[in-house]
Amino acid sequence: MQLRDFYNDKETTQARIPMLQVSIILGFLLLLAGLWRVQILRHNYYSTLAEQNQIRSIRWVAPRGKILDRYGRPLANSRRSYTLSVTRKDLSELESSLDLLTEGLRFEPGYLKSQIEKQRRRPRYLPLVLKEDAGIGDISFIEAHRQELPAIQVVPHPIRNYPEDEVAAHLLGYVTEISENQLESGMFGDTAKPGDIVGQKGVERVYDHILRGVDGEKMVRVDSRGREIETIRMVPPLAGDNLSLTIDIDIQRAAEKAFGDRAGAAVAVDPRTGEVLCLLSRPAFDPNSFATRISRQKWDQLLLDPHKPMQNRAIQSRFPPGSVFKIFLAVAGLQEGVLTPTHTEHCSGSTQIYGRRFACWKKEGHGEVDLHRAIVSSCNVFFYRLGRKLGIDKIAVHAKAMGLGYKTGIDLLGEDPGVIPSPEWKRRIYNANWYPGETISVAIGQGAVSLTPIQLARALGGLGMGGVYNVPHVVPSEDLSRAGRRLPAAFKPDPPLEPRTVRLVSQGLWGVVNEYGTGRRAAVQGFDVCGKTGTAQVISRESRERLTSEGKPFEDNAWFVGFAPRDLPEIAAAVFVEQGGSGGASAAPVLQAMFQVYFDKHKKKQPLNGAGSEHISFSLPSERVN
Amino acid sequence: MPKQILPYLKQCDWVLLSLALAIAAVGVAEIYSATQYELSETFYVKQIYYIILGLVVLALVVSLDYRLLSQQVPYIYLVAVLSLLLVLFIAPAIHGTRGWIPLGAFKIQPAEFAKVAIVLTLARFLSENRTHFLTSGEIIKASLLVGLPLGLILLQPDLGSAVTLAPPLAVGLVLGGLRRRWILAGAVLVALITAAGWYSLKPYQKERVYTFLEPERDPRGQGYQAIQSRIAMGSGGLLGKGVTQGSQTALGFLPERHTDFIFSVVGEELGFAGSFVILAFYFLIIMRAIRIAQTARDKLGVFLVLGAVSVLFFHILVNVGMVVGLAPITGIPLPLLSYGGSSMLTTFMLLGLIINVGMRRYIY
Repeated sequence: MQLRDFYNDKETTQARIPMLQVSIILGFLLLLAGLWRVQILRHNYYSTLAEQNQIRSIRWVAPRGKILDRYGRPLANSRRSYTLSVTRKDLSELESSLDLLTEGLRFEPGYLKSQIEKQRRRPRYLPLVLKEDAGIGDISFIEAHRQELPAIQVVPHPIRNYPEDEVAAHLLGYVTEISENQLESGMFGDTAKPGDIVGQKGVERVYDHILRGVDGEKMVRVDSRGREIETIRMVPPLAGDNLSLTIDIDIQRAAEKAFGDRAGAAVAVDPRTGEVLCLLSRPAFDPNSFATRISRQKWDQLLLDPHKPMQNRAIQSRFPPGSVFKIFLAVAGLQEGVLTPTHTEHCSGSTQIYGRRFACWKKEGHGEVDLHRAIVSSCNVFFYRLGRKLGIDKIAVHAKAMGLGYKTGIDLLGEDPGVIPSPEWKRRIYNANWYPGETISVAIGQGAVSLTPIQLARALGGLGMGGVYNVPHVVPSEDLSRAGRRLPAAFKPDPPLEPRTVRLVSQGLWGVVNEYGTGRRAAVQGFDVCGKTGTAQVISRESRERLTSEGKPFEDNAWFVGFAPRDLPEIAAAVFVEQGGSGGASAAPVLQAMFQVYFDKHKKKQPLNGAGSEHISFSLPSERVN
Repeated sequence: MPKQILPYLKQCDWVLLSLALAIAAVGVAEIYSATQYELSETFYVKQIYYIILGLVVLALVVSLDYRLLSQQVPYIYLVAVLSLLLVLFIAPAIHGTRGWIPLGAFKIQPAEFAKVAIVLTLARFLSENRTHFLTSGEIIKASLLVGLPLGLILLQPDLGSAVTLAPPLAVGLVLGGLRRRWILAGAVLVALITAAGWYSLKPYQKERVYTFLEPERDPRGQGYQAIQSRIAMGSGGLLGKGVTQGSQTALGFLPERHTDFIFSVVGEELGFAGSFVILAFYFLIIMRAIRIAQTARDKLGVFLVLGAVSVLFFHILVNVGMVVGLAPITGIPLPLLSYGGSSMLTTFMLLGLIINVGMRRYIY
């Protein structure tokens, strides 16, 4: 019974299968007819359309976000420019008009050919760039010769512009087209494409993901003469976001001006927050020169320049701090209790330690000196003896507790950690023993100790703050999270600085500037500037004398570091001048220029605190003054 | 063990499988050609992985007797419906529709797998009918079984994928014993639903139909694809421009050229000759499958094969029809040729079902 049913049912189904077969055959015949119509009958018609499908896809470059200073003034923006280019497809058309172009666009003979050759390796859909940032003359030439030059496209293209030219060049960085290596490494994210303009160095590099927009695309149909007939598709670009920095362009300009042509670096920070107010490095480069395709020659020139203009000396270079280091020795002595304010040493111009004679800079000697006088007059002998008493290990511990010898964590790339030497360090690096005499050199900031300007600016501000070391940053903390970063908490060493230590050392630094010290040229009337000069020997005395006699005078490196006002510091800075001679003469005026601008802006109209030196409070400010 | 497997392997339709792999190989070449200037992804390499994965899935489907497979139908159906529900809640909306569940490095498109589930479910349901003709209750039950997942796909909204569930129902009902007057009534009903559906179409869907009827109406938007597709195909002529030589393809005038419009790349680069051969291969696959249905040992096998055939044929008809300008633009991929993992796996599952039934025609 069941069997019969099964076959019967199957027959119903099987009987209807031919119906399905016929439908399917009809369906395929219909498709075949469609194919025949499009590919055979109308082949000529569609071929013509394909030929006329002169559709050009033009990259619609997104403008990069502006970089602004803390008051919204532009440090980097975009300017409109025009690029002359030609698509690969139209290249053959161009070959015949190379001479005309060379003449009309005022190229060197042969330049165009080499330019085309050079760009052959780039992906095929990228247009060949003939001339970037074309002038009005170039554009009118192209338009006037449209008949002969139908393939040339004039494409508007925003170009990065740095209105302040070289000012803060190292801080800002520059932009170029993404390199093949960068593209492969994926360092600019998955969406980066060949031809993208990306940030290199500085803020442009670190915050590239904020500043860079998303390029759009414009598809246009052009006629056989290269004129746009209609726009087929438009994907507008997304502009990059603007980015405000903590930099005050007024302070930056003042520092640049005071620096003149000398090489070196200057950094100013707000010690209460870690905000960087000014960051300069000299010699500088003009970031505008990278915005258009920079020539190989020019690039090599920048890279091979013995003065290293591409190096950001404020964070990437370390130098012996010279007498500046005495500040940290004084702190170590007071913290360790080996030094009291009343303790005195006799300076006769030199001293014998470990059987060797160590000289003071003042040949006739300072006589009896206590801590205050030792800081103010920068007496070497006092600090030689203090260094011996402390020993290298304790010096290192206290210097490191003030953030020296470590990267500060500033939001820029390539920061150098500096060196705070110790016997352990010397064994690790040189596999050699520490000589006691080296401790004495380190005590006055010579020998292996070497620090970066940003480290010193932070350490001085942190000292003035009573031992709170904020991490320097160039983007305001409230914007950092938007950039996917987090500001590390301020560094507070344990055990903390004793208020007495801070008071005594600050008082000494105040004296350097405001009493009979070496830093009088850093004084700002009514601002209680505290500071310390430093002079670091670069080469031996003999070499220097030899060079001088050969007519190539070689000066020492000069430092000036400081903060102000003494009681509740709002600004701290470090200035380094390569071969500046003495710190008081060459570096102090730069710091003074920065502090003066700050003072004029924030303090002038406010009632001044008495310059009293007796009552000093070290509570942290509860609100920002500016 | 090998002795037991050997006769089955002899019965495996190797010709059908070879035809399918030949089409897939052409697909890889054309995907390479269509995306050669895309730097972000190497689509053709991924497609090769999908094909290999598809073969593994096919082997799995083939190794299980289809009668055992049909016992799992309630679970398969449940999983399909649940995943379609899931997609509505967790899938991210892309271009206003949600159809993809991101799963690690992969994206899964449950609507694709729903096609297989429906073929299995209908085959089981219809094969359990013991009478000559279907009762109205059975017709309604079958319609509801298909209607639930179809409705869920419509909610994504993905009209194209939803419509692909209708052909197995139609074919299943007609061949399962729908009375002639019901077939007639069904035709009328379809016409009415089409009319009613027109009023419920979203504006962009209506626009698609308009531009299908008259592509020049909107040469920049919807019509743009239709025109560009035909220009690419038509300029291919009899013999085509050769693989990687298609200018329309290379210049990127054709959107979706490696997925839904892959057949126009075939048309441009391999010409009428190439597209004819591809169509002939599809035709042979389907005819062989129908031959398997005619010789199947039981009703379940017949309905499994015919269900799979109806899904595959509908895809080919609508996709190629769209490319040559006979059907409106819908997001329906071309089996074996279009780039895409979910579509590739679904196709191999359906082919696996067909081969499965063919292998077990005789009892050993």
